[in-house]
Amino acid sequence: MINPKYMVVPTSQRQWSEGRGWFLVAAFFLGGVGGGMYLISLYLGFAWGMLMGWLIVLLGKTTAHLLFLGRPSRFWRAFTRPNSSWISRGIIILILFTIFAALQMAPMVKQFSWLPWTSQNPVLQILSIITALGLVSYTGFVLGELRAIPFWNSSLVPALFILYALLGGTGLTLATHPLFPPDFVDIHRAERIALWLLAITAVAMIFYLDIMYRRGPGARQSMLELIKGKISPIFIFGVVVVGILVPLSVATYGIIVGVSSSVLMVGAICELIGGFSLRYSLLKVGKYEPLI
Amino acid sequence: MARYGMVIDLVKCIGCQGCVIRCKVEHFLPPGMFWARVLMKEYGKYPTMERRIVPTLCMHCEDPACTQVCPSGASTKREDGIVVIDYDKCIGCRYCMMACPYGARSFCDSIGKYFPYKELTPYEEVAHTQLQTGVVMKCTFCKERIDAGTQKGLKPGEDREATPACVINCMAKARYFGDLDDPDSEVSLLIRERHGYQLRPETSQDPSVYYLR
Repeated sequence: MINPKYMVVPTSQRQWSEGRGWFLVAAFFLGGVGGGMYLISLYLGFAWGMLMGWLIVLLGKTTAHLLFLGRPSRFWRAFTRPNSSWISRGIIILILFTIFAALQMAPMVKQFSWLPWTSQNPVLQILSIITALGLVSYTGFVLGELRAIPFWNSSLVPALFILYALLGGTGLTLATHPLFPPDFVDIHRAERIALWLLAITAVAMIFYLDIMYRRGPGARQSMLELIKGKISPIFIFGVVVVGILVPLSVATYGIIVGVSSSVLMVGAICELIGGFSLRYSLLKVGKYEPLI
Repeated sequence: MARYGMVIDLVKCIGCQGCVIRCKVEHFLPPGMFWARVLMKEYGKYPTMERRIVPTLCMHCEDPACTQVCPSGASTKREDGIVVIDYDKCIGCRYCMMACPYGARSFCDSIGKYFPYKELTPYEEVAHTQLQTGVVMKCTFCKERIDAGTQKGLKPGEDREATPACVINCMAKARYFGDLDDPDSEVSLLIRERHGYQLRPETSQDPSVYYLR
């Protein structure tokens, strides 16, 4: 059937958010959370968290990407255009991250203790931090460079993706901490990080929406759909209430008064739900400008 | 080398969708896939209303965003300005679809049938052997016709055999095809004399499809 409104009104992109597009949303989420968890765990000295983050990227993100592709058997071709394509750059960064992070973590495993470096090796740590930062930000650049979809075409998109990756990483660290002995993770430090990240994310989100509202018909319609349209329940409830307000309250209360592990876990799971909802709603409301 | 382009006279176009159908027939396009479209929008209120009809297709831009973002090198621009997709290289990531401001690309998820409860027609059988699933597709300016025609010494835009199917099928003769780099070609003259314009020039992609009004 011909859609009579196709490119006549701001037209939603559907390929990256419907059908197999869900795998791409999952890949963006898992890449962000995995890379973010690695970075936060490296900062907190939480070895299991680093390993979990690495595994999420290696198994979760790559599998989701392969499931999304129309021709997964040709995935290797995606490495061939790093000079002009952010997807190519991202895939190369992903491979480098898995290699450097594996080399950095390997001495912590008993079977690899013979390796001539330690997990504190500054060169490997710096390389894995740089590639992890590249990993959590490249998806933002993938969207940010697209002039055809004005709602995504902003330098704030990579910044939001970095913030949500770190937030997701902190959330997953807090959500999984009851699985480990009490002295494995410095929960209070993780709580403070989460509080700062949530506050910065809230401000960045307000800036982003305000810029988009002033930009043009396509971006404005996307923004309005986010706060008033079909996607608004996911954005308002999932991103704003569950993703920001609830964990912000939990983290603030936790720092001032102190909360139990289970409450902390709920707040952390809310952060993860917020991260997924953000990526889904951002992709879903991407619209092309009308042609006539 | 030529830079092929198209000129569409919006004064002549009657919105019959003949180009859409001819394109589907020419390229064995499956149900739901369109390489050519006719956009229609109504302005104003009765009795002073106006319907605007704008046929669209791949704009074969001089500086296309789709080829830049393609991670596999499947989308490329030929020397004659035609933007093509190598279906054997396409990985189906659909990044080019996101980058195209003209919505000219389609993803072929499945080839399907026009008559769901019947066997494939001979036409559909050809489609099933020629098309690939899991890849992105779009208008090629009928490069097969152009290539075969130019090999025979024919001139695209002047000789029917070497001209895109939508151009020769247009009953209102609203479409013109030719070399934009040749200042004496029909398309260049029309653009110059009737102030041809491009859709969404602010994207800086310099489309090779011009419109006359």
